[in-house]
Amino acid sequence: MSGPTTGLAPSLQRSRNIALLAGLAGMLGCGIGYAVDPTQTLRSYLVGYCFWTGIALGCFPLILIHHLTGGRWGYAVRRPLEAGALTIPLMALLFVPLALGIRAIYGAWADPSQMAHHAVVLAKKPYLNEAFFLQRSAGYFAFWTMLALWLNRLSRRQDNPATEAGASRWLGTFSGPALLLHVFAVSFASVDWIMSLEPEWYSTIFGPLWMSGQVLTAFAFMILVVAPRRDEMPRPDLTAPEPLNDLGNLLLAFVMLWAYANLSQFLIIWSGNLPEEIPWYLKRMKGGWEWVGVALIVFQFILPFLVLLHRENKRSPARLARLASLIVVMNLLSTYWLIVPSFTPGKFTLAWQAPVAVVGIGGIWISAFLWLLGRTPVVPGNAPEPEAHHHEGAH
Amino acid sequence: MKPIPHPDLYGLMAEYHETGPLLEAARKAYADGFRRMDAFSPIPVEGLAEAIGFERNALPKVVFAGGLIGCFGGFFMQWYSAVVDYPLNIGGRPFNSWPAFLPITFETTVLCASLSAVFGMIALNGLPKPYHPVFNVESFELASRSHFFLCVQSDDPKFDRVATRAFLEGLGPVAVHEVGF
Repeated sequence: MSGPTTGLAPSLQRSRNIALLAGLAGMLGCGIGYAVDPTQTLRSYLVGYCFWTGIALGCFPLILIHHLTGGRWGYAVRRPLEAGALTIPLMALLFVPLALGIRAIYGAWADPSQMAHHAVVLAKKPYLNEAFFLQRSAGYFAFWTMLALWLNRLSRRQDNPATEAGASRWLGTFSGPALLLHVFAVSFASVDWIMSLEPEWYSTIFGPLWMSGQVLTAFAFMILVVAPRRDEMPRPDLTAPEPLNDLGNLLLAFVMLWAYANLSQFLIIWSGNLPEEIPWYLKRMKGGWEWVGVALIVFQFILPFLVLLHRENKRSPARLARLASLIVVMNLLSTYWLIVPSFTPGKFTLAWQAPVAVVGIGGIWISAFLWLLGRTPVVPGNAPEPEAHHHEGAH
Repeated sequence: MKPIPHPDLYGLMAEYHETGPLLEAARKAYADGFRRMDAFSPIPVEGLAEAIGFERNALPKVVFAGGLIGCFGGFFMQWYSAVVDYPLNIGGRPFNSWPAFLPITFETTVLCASLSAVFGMIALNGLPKPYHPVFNVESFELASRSHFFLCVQSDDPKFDRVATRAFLEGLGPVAVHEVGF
């Protein structure tokens, strides 16, 4: 077996520099946007922020599940996932503009003049107030940072045969409880950062709904990173057709999970047809938003579902990567559809600040992610040895 | 090249006690040009199906067709009863309440897909088969317990009673049996 290889694949090194430049340009654009229209810029920033933080957060359950279940599928993507999780302190830093612009974004409950008219929202004040909101967010970031550091440190200890057994025991014991805590943290964060944009509305499945999108997107993103770079990997057997097939099958499962969570929420609210619930969908089903919804159903569920049923599509790195990029893009649209109709109900809008913020935060996130990825061996040391035999002539 | 008919001989069967030599033998036999052969094992052996040249069959298409029938059939039944046959005003909702139909549609999709998987599998693999020549080999009953077998059939164009036997014996078997009808 080849020894641990540190350092990024050359193609990723180029991507890192491009991403950094794009990120800095995007952030400059956000600065200009803020000078022109602070409210709009902050709201657009929230979209980009939730999308990229979502990818970082989606890495956690995947790492934890792999520590719990094991399996060949995880070794190709685990180091990228760990690097993704380790970007959380950066996302805590990028949260600062949201914390400062809390009244512009969350005016529905943070702005006293708006709140006076809503008895329901007023009653939620013990939870939805600026101080507690910021404390909670700080708590989430503290938890995720500790978890990311812990996962990365123990995973590096697994690389060393002397410390491998102990690290694996710790990971096996605490990955389950950590996963439980993570689900709670994401659920609360989803309530705080997205659901509270419309403080009269509530949905108990919203946390799992957001999390299923995060996991799906993080997984698709990491497939996009590893699948097309087989020749640059120290262990090309980990992205051979068979392991890729496993990754494709899991991607199919996450596509279905995402659709399941979304349909569950829609079906229950649509059937109940209650005045405190249904407006959330009504805002998202007219004025152009309905076409975004249709696009999500078609391109984030039906098309990936049908493509991933077919074996050849899962075994081809190019096809799997193409589908993964579609899923990542559609999740950006999905994040937009979750957030923006709260500000512009019943009328589709696209402010120029939105793509600028997505590129700005994304560029910085990707360059940080690639920098972190380049600092560790690309393949965990405890990955199973490649199988001795090969299928000569069988295909 | 037409196969030479062997009215008394179904094929030659090499017996193994481990999976490794079986897999190796299957690959060598395939590489040597044998195509009409089958392997028997009490446990799934990774790569064995590919080694004896198993190509994909029509089962995925059968399952997909079954899923489609279940999907559209399930939706149609609900649509027909709610819109055409017995329209009921429930809470002012439209008769065609499609979101409410989706769980049943999903269930009928899964049901029909799995039923077509089971019956399609049985139809394609030719089961049930009350008689098969391989059972004439005495030790073959161990194929369901601890032994592994590779059978080259006599209708293979490359089959030759003497040469194939010598070839199989060169692949390190525990024994080579003649399989009669």
